[in-house]
Amino acid sequence: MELLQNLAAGAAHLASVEVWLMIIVGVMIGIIFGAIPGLTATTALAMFTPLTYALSRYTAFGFLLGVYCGGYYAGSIPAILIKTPGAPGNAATCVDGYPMRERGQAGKALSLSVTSSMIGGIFSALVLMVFAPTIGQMGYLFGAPEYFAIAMLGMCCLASVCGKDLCKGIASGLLGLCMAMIGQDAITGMTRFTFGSVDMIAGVGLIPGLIGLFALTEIFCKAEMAGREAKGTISDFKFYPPKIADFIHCKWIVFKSCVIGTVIGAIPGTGPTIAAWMAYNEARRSSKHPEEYGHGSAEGVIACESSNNAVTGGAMIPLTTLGIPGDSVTAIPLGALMIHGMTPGVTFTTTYPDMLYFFFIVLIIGNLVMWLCGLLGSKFFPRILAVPTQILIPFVIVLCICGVYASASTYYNLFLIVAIGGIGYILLKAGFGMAPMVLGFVLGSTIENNFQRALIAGDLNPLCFFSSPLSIGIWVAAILLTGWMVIKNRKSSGAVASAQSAGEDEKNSE
Amino acid sequence: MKKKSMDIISGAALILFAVWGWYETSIWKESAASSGISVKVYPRAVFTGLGICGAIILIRTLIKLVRGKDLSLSELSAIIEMHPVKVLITIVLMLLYIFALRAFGFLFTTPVFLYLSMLLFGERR
Repeated sequence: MELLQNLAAGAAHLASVEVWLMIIVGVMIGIIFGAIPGLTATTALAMFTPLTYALSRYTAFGFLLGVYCGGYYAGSIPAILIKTPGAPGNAATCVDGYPMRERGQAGKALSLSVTSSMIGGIFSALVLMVFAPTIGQMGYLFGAPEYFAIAMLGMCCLASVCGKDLCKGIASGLLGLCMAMIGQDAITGMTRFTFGSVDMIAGVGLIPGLIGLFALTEIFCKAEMAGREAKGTISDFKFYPPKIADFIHCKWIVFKSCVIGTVIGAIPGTGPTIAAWMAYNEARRSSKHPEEYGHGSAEGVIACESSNNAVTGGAMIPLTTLGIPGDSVTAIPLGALMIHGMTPGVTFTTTYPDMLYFFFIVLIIGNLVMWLCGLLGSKFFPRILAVPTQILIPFVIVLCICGVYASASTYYNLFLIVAIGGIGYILLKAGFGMAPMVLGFVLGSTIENNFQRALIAGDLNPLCFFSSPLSIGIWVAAILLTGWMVIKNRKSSGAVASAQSAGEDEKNSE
Repeated sequence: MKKKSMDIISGAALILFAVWGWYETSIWKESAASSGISVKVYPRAVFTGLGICGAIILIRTLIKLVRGKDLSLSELSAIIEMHPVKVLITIVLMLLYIFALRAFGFLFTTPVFLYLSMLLFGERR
């Protein structure tokens, strides 16, 4: 009964035409950004979050979740059409998507990709609807030590999964914490690291921080490669309407991929890349025709894309129940929740039940809109890919600057994003991932406040962080998950190294 | 730039940053509103972590260079593709745009910025 009440409360916010319009616009923007190689859903979310400042929280999240759904799917478009994944999570789609395009089946590959993305997205939204409120009921068990432990769990997982180097991942997360320390200390009110500047007393705002770290860093990386990207022209494109028969014969692959995507998405710090490769490997292992994989297998595309988009709902589970993002992309909605005056965390599901159910419904609608846009717009995708970088970069920069200025109307923030973007570019080149830094920055105040509160409540005894079975369990989970990811990363990098050396041996013998 | 040089520089930079952080926190005065916990504890914990990470990156790279294992050496000799000049010009252009925004407003400045940027990023024929 309560479920129906909350669902009705969430659905009531959809009575506004504005919300529907913003979901559609969000999906379209997400698709455009996701389809352009080098720009991702993350960039789009970072850029457009400040523009939602003036909107109501429901309209804003309708739009942002639309961008989120569209952006996740659209990375498969360049993966299929020009063998360049729009985002790392779509890399597995290249393996079979591009050979399909080479065989003149670009339309079919895109149609399968968008339909399986829609199935994955809706499946994960339904899972989110079932599990998030249940996990949220445990909110009363959480005190400052548990909050601190859960934030550290998110940081550890993301640090270990980003890039090959755990040490650089952790350092990147710590640099994010340093960024969050600038300005006033929440407990004592003391100003720190302001260098005498009055502007810096307020600290680094979420919007300038997110835009600087994600959007501008990507723009700088794209700027240095301007004029040197591979360009693809697609002339043999034919529209292919989705057929139920294509999915019925591989229904178990779709189901397994959806489950893999949702579960992987729900583990903090993982994300679509791991999910897509795991689903692809599982589909190939269980297929009756494994030899077709890698040569344009429709099953391969379906497996990758359904698991990739199943991450969208899965990643929302830790975000809405524990206040830690499931992957780097969801770090931005986490910031957006704070910007719109909501506190993400264990009390979110009980404090804003209508918002939680609004999320479920928008994810489902967003996936349906994405499916329609993906099918109807498939003829135009080759044109999106043809947008020259020299036109794209300046417009994105202007949009970033407008967004940051609109959020606080100060020029200080504009200089700040340039500085953060420049530092982010150097760090990225040095092998430090941006995602742990963003997470450190977003969670910085939560970590610091709960660290101090736990110590004060525990009479400054450091053992207070392990005072309850729940906090001990979270610390153990953090250690186990980090260990598992480090081993997994080492194995995969070892496999890449051996494949490279085998390739070199072959060349030498020739 | 080679990966080994980048790792050595980044490791050393992290250590220096951590040392600066410790120095900076040492000149803070204790607040009466601190409820017993020093305001320096948390920042110092973060800077210590950064220092340890920097030391690990630096020492690990140096050990790999000294030992000279084939695989690690080839990995360290990898070139990091970096074209900072174009990025630097973009940053300068952005800063000029922000200064110009202040002086002349959005409508006059933006078309000029767009034109100049397109000129910068455009293909040379």
